[in-house]
Amino acid sequence: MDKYAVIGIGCAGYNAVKSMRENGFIGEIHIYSDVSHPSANPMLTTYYVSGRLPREGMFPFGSLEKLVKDYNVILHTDTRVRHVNASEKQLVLEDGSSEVFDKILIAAGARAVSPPLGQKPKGRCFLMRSVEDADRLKQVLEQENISSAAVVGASMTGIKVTELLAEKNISVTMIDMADRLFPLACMKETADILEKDLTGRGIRLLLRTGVDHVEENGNDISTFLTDGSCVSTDILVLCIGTRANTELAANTEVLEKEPVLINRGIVVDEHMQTSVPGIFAAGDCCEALNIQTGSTMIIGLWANAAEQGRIAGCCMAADCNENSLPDTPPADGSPSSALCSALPAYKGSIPNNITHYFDQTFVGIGDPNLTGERFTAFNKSGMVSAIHDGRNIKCINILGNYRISGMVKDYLIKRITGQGAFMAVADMGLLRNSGVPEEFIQLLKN
Amino acid sequence: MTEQELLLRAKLPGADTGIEIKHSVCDICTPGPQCGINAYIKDGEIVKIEGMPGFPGSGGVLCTKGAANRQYVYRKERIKTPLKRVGERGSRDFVPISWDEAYDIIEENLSNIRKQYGPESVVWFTGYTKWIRPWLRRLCHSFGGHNYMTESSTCFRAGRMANETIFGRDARGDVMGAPHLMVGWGSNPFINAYPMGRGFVKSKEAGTKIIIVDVRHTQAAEKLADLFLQPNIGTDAVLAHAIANIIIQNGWQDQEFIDSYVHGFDDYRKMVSQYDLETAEKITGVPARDIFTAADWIAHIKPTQIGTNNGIAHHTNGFNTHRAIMCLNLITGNYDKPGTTLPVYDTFCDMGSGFDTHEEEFMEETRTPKTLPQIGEERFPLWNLMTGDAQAMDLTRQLLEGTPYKLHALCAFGMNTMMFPETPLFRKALKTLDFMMATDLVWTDACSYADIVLPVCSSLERSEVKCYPGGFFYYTNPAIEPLYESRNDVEIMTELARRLCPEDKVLCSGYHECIKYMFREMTDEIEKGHETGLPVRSSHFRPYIPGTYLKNGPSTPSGKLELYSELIAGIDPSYGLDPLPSFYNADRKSCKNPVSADSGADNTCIDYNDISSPGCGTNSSGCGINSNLYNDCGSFTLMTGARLPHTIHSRGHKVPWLRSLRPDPMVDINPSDATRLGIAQEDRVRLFNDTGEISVLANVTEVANKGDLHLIHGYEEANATDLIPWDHTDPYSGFPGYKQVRVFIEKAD
Amino acid sequence: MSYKINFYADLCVACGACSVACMDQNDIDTEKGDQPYRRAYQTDYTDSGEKHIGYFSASCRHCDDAPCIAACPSGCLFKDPETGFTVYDTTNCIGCRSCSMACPHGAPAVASTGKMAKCYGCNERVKAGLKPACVAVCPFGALKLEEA
Repeated sequence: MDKYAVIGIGCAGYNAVKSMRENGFIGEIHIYSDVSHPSANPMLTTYYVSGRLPREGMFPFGSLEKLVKDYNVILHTDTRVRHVNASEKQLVLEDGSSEVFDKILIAAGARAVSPPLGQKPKGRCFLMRSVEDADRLKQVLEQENISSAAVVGASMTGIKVTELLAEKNISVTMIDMADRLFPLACMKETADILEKDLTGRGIRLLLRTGVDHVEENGNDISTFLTDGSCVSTDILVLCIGTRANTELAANTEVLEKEPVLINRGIVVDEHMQTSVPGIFAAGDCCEALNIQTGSTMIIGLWANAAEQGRIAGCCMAADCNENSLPDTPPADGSPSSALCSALPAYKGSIPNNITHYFDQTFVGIGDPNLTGERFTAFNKSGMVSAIHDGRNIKCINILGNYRISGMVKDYLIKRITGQGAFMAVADMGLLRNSGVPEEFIQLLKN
Repeated sequence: MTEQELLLRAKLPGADTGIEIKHSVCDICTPGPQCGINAYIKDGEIVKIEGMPGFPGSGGVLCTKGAANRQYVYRKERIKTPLKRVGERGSRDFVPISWDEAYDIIEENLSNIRKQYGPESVVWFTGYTKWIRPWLRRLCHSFGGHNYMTESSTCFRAGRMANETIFGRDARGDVMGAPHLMVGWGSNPFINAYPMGRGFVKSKEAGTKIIIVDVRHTQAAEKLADLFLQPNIGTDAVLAHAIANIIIQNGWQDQEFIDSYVHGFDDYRKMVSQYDLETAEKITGVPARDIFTAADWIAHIKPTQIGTNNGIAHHTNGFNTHRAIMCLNLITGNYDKPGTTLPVYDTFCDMGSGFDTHEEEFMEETRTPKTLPQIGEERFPLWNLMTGDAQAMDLTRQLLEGTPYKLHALCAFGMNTMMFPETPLFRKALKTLDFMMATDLVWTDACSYADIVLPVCSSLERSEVKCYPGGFFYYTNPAIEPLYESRNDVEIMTELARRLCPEDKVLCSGYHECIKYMFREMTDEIEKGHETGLPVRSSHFRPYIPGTYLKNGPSTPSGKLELYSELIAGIDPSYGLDPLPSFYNADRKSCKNPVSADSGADNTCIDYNDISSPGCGTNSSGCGINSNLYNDCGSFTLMTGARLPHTIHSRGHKVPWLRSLRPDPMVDINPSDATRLGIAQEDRVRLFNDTGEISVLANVTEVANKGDLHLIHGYEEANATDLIPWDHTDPYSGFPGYKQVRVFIEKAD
Repeated sequence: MSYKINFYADLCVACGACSVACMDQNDIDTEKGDQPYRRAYQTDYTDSGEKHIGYFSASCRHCDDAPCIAACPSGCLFKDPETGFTVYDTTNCIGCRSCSMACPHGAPAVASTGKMAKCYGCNERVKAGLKPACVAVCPFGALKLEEA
């Protein structure tokens, strides 16, 4: 009977296990997790800290007991995998023990980046990614009288941290090296509106400046910025970004010295298989197809992780998998060809974000840093904005009218993938009925 | 959620949830459909509404409005207690009083006014709902008066009168008789009368050809029409005459039927002969080939049913237009045969159900001889002659002018001031009254002008009899207790009768006894039906057998079906009423742009002529009706009252659920006009003319023809009738020209 | 057994009875800006050069492979195995709108409670053998409850 290993039990890992079982895999599934709690969603941590969610609310798939019961898995919690021996499909654990599997899924996720600050996040300095991060911040907010905070990183996490702090009447300073809010999703013009809105709420915004170093003095932490200034606050929260946990694969010893291909994340093909047959990766630790650029990239979204996990699980469970593996992965590092046409394939994604904070909703689809003509329209439903070249839409920003975001994203993807010549009258009507300006519909349609 | 919570959320009836189903009836719209309701009741409160399965006509479904009955009943603006005015007339300054005190005040005022100025100086008005009409009509008569008037002064009655001048009776289409061609003229039965819409759909499925004629691109045009004609507003009669002309020119008329049953064919033929295809196309904007196809089908497909709806009569030439359309039935022999147009025999409350009651006797037996003309009689003699009622559209004038006599009191049961064209003038007129009482479910503008306001309940809080086609009657029981201190309208009339005309023992006996009086041959059935609270098919039901009416001779003056109305011929010629259904232009003769009037620019609309005038049809810049006119002078033809599915008149506007389907008043405008004027979807626009001005949002849609605007009425913040002059009326019926008003539109800042 | 609420556009006139029945069934507070789970609308279009008006009623399609389920960070959405409807328990809903971003049909909305709300097929009514409120009310039979 086959034996599979799943490293990491986040969204991708969970969905892979679920998918393996749903697709008829009856062998052993060993799950390795370096923590003792169930699958947590990093996106929920700020809601837990704000008090909108109870602690167990951060674990959307329920308890580990439920996981064992539902999917008959063998759990190895608090167990760190030191590396993966790809040629043997062998896991080497931190205690030196090892185990051989038929297939391995690396779903190790990503971790928050703590930049070289001269010190690890501790004391009055916080991160916001893991359950442990959330516990720490919640504790300090509950136990101390915090009146000021600096948040580094004008990202989706940074804004949610800012919101929760501001709602507790804490005066917040947001700091980012970039020239705008949400630099990876937001056009400059959209950012201007959002920044004005934020400063109107009393949030201090310091852009185009990075953190040089940090000094902690008792109940006070001073953040020295690259522009020479200094912000002294009660606490500092770092929301600078994440890095894929690729080290497991990076340390992998591969037959014929061909390592598992890694860029910023572990590179996978459309079946979520790495360049090494039998070793799969899914979720925030891997790079998959960005259909806008045609190359792979990390698009670390919950929905992507779920979909990638589902596909990885299904492909791992499939019998034809082994026999239809390509002999050698493409030398250029591009994703390999289909394992088997009957298997589900990850269709790829485009960067997309929806962020709701205060009473604002921001939607970003595509790359705001591409060039092209601008279209922007305001009406009582909100704002829609696009970068396009007449034929292709590169980026869309929406403010307010969140309900159309899925339809808009879907049509944008259809257009990029060449299925977008036709818009159903029903959808056109629904967009009009949802307050989308006619010119934007025509742009999306043509 | 727990299982119990899920069941409660689902509102499943049963012991678990404590929800029980009670039967009632929806009374939001006109009596036509009025669908059976299953009200889900928990702890005496409605928690959900559903259609009553198997109900006659509705078959268990509801329309948009009916589905909102729960919120309609529990509206925030419900009047809770009797109220007495303490502030200025027109203000909302009222204090609660007891029912007894309210009755005392009404009795004292009406008795004194009757004594001092005579019973004619008291006006009895009823709007919605219509279930109370027989009672109010009798109350007016028993009181000694004749000035009973209804909302039907502007609704369906003109169409009925038009039918009566032609056929001697009102007319209806025989859908059950499997017509092979149906002509829905100004008919969009999907909206506001869905059972009729389903009838059309069923016929279409069975292979019936359908022609839809409408100035709007409606649901019916889209879903039903094998041929869709979209004439310019107000030119339908020209279209009908052109069709008749083609039929007669080609000898396609049913000469045998005409010879046997029709009066006035030669005069009619002469009249329609001036409408050749070219002229008709020019005036109506309908392509000549489509007019010809319509004539071809109407002449050759048998049986054909040509019918219209109320909107046709809502032009100042509406009465003749309605006649012009219905006359096509005569020349093609499509009358009183299966699948054609049939005579109507009323049973109760303007509904023909196939059995007889003594409603007419009930309403009329206490009427005394007139000593003074009824309201409207001097301006609209045909109306008073044919309906026996006062014409509400002359109320504004008589209140303000006091001629031929002064009016002193108004008893208004469900009055909507916005029904009255040039509403600000009507409000001014109401201020001349010595005494006014108003009843309503919710607070309305009219209440503000009353001295006493009485709260009435909804159909779900009372008991009433409704009759339906196919021999059905339905005697409801209350689904819930009347809310607050509200009572039902007939209870109020009964009490007024006891105080003002106690000698009328029948009226004083209350609703149930009056019903037994009117339905006296079937009291056992009535009692039993009341007990079960379910619709009953009466054993007295006798389906109409087509042909019976013609065989016995139509009840017109000539004893024939009249293309030339002898009744109208009998009206004093000084009124200028044509016994033939002749076309005349219903547009206002001119309109000055009130804004740029001082600029010296000539912005007066072309004063177009009726088509017999020289130059017509040749002057490319000026003649023709409506079409191109707006290009010349910048004005548009506004049609008010085109229905939206979620409201009837003003009744849905303040029901939040219904209002949410279109939160803002919107005017439909054609995309090409909108582009020309720089107006985008949902832009705020001003509509104005020399009568008034309102502000609405633009709805840019091909529903509206170029040069036309469409706006539903009844919004307090954008009252369409503010734009209609008070005297913009049809001389035959007295009906206002709701559907054809000249206005200007511009983008607001 | 798996159900779908199927929409037959040729029978629809966008009267909105379905929307109102949904409001009544689900106590939708439109005064707080909440919307029913089904929306009726009409729209102009041209077909072969001819002008037309289309009439529609749109709601959750209860997709077999519903992307909203995977997209929900809190795991609020799931399939009812008995009916196949995409149902939800919003106890842990954070109002993040990820479901809206995932849905190609514009179905999920966030209600005034701050929680996601959408059509759940009148799940309990269907289990009790009744039709969903919108299906029961539709005067023209444009909405039908059918086995998938």
